[in-house]
Amino acid sequence: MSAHDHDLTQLDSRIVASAAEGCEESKLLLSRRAALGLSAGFFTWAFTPHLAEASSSDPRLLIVLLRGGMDGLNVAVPIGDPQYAKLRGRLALVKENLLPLNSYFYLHPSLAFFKTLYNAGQATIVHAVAPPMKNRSHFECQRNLENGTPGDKEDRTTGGWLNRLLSKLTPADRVKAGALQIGPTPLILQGTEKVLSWSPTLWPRPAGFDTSLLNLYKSTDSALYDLLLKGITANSLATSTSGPALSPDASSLQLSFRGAAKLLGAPSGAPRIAVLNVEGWDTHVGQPQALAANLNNLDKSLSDFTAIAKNSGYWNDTVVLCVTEFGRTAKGNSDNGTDHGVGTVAMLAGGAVKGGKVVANWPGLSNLYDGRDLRPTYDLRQVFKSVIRSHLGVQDKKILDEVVFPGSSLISALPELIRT
Amino acid sequence: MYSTLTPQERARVALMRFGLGPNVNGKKNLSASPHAARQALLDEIAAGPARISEAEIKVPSTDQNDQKVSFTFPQTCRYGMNLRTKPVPASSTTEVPTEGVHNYVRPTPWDFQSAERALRLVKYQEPEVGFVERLVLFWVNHFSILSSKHGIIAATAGHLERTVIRQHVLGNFADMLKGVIKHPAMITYLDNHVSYGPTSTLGRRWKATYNENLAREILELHTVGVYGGYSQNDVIGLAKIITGWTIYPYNNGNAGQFYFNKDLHEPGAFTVIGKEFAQAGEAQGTAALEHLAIHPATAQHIARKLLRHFVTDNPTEKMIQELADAFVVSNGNLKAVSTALVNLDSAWIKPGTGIRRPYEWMVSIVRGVGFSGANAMALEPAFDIINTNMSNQIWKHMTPDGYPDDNYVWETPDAVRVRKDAAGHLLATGAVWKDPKWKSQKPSELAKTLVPHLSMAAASAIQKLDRDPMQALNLLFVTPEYLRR
Repeated sequence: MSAHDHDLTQLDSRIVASAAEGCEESKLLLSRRAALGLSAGFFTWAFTPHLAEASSSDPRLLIVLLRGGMDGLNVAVPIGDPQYAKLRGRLALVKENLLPLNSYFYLHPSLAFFKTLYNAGQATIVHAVAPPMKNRSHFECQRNLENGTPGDKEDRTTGGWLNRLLSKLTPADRVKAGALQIGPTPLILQGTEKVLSWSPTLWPRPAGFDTSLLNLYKSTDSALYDLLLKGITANSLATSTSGPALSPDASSLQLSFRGAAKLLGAPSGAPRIAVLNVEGWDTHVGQPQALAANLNNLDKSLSDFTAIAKNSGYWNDTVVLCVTEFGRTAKGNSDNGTDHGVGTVAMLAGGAVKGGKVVANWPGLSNLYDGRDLRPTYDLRQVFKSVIRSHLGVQDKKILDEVVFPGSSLISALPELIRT
Repeated sequence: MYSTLTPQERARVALMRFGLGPNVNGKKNLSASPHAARQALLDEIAAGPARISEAEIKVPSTDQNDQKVSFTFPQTCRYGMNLRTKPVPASSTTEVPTEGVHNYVRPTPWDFQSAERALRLVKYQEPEVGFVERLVLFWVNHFSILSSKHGIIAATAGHLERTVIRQHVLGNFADMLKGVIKHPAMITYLDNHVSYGPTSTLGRRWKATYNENLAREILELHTVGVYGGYSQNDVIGLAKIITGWTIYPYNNGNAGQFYFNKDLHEPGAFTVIGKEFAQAGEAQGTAALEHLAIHPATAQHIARKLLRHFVTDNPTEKMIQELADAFVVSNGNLKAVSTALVNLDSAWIKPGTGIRRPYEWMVSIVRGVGFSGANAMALEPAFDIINTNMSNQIWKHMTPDGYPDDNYVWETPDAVRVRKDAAGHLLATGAVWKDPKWKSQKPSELAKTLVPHLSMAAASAIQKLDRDPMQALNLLFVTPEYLRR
């Protein structure tokens, strides 16, 4: 594990103050939640068959799953909402320290690179958005975000909406290898479409060993043969050394983004869709430090990804979409953190994004959901549908409303997110 | 079905599906008679879990030398809280609290965790099959904790396993549950040490309130499960009931250990899934956990999870019901439930399907090669890195739901590619080629001993590599016979 193995804790300032009064309980060592665990980032990619309905462009999509529930209210801060500072109390961020998105919303200062994309019209924020399920359970809301169901009743649906989408696309000859990922497969990519995977080779085998093993599998276990061959093929794609010079000092999340960028940039038969997990947004305790560190790491990773995508010439065909399972309580808790909430942000970046604006039907913080959380006025499926329709070029309503997002005929794509 | 399997297939299922893989020092022939394999599992249940004592955990005493010593649990907790004490003699304790990051003297909380993990690499080599060890691992994952969150978790994760999970692995689920929820590692992992009754003495003074985290996961993950029929009000009720379940603070001699703080406890009666708890103090939480531990929904949840872990991603309702019945009838006795699992005919499915989880498979390499105590413990740093890389190291899962049991998660192209590298790296770390036994024994002979049903193709491929024991064994441990369950 990384340095945070040794990063014991931060003391809560209120507890420190109470400790000074001689209160024994207040001397408890408070911990940050496991919020700095960004090193666990890994990514997943999937081949997109050449889209029959797409234009001559060759679209790329990177979906970043921010797991744990990112605090949208402190990412794109509604400075213009008079309730914000009151509700947030000591967690409230102040305008002077933030990056202006417009006169109402201000961006967290750790997202400086995202801000340059925003200024260039290549990044946008969708605010007050949530998946349809709103029960504040990580597992349920993540599952709902990824399986694409309405989430209004008990749901043991297996398989993810992105895999269902892939299964409905028309395969072209040049792509037939399936999908690719690192580490555990996120639900969003599970399903009938095969998934490939990649991670860095840490302990290479002697020359000839891989061939011996492939031969053995070929005659004894065709499934293992198929898997190993794909794994080896993906590795050679991902470890190509060409590209822009990047800092040698990189977090593992940065390395994951770089690998994703390389794989998405490979020319023929290469993946066009990637999914990448980023753990650690569950900021119950000591949120200010944890959120800043997480956003900073994400911002640097996005910067690296952009550099490679531009160098490879596909940035203008790219959408990076960052989503999270829920937002956090409008009020802070008593541990300098926030608890599970509902409404939050979705972040989009890329040359194909019609950016430079905040997309919000702002509900106002005087109108909280269940009296405690940002009320979502957009359904995350509206964002997904917009990207699928305008970026990937899939227009078929039946596929979108019944297969990819079953029971979603009343959920319309958000307009004006993608350049067309 | 058990009845349709040959004795050889039953042996394979016992070792690869229920156990930790073949033991090079094993004494039994699991296919010697029709029921030998199942009997071996029942024998291990009868023998009970291996006990691991505090005295066996040796950690570096200081930065200055390599001497390793044992510590008491109170001392371990203090180190977990980053409070320095001179360990020997305990009576002359002097304390120098250190502050800040990277400012540690040994032992660090992570030294305790490493020592605990290292010792298990020795213990895993003892049982014939390792079924009870697998049960311990199942419950460790059921009560998943993340040790990197806080030093107290890292320092005491092994203690939680030894004194609670291992202790009750064939006892009553209620005892295991109560022990886990009261343990400093779980209290801290799920933030109950910062949960305050809003109208408790200190809650009022600090204007602080309860934290739902532990209560929610008790319901959603540990007991009745997400479809167990609870509501947000039940979460809040349970959260209030267990306010005050905390750990001693820094300035207390018992720093880091569990205690019930009445000044944090929310007064009043609260309801959890249809039952009101009006007891005073700590007894209220104990009663609520006992209620949840034997709830029928808990029986269903545990039965489904056991079957998904050991047998199939998609257990039938009939299988679940049979196991859940054993849970209900025995009031959650895990010996009865584990026995019922072994005796469930439908739990014995045809071998060679799915893929074994990385951790248990790595353990089976250690058991297949056979390492002496010191050599096994020396593997720990590499074992840790490899399992972390394969996303299956204990006490490292990011979220409280534990590692998933779905096969698709583990049987992927990259995972298969990494397995071959991982096996090779472990064998190299263990300097397996240095073993003088390769002067008189060929790896292909060992392969036939460990895996009597090895395919002709695999046997011949290994034989071709006999002159290079490292590559030959590397191949053996990634044959389909070793990778699949």
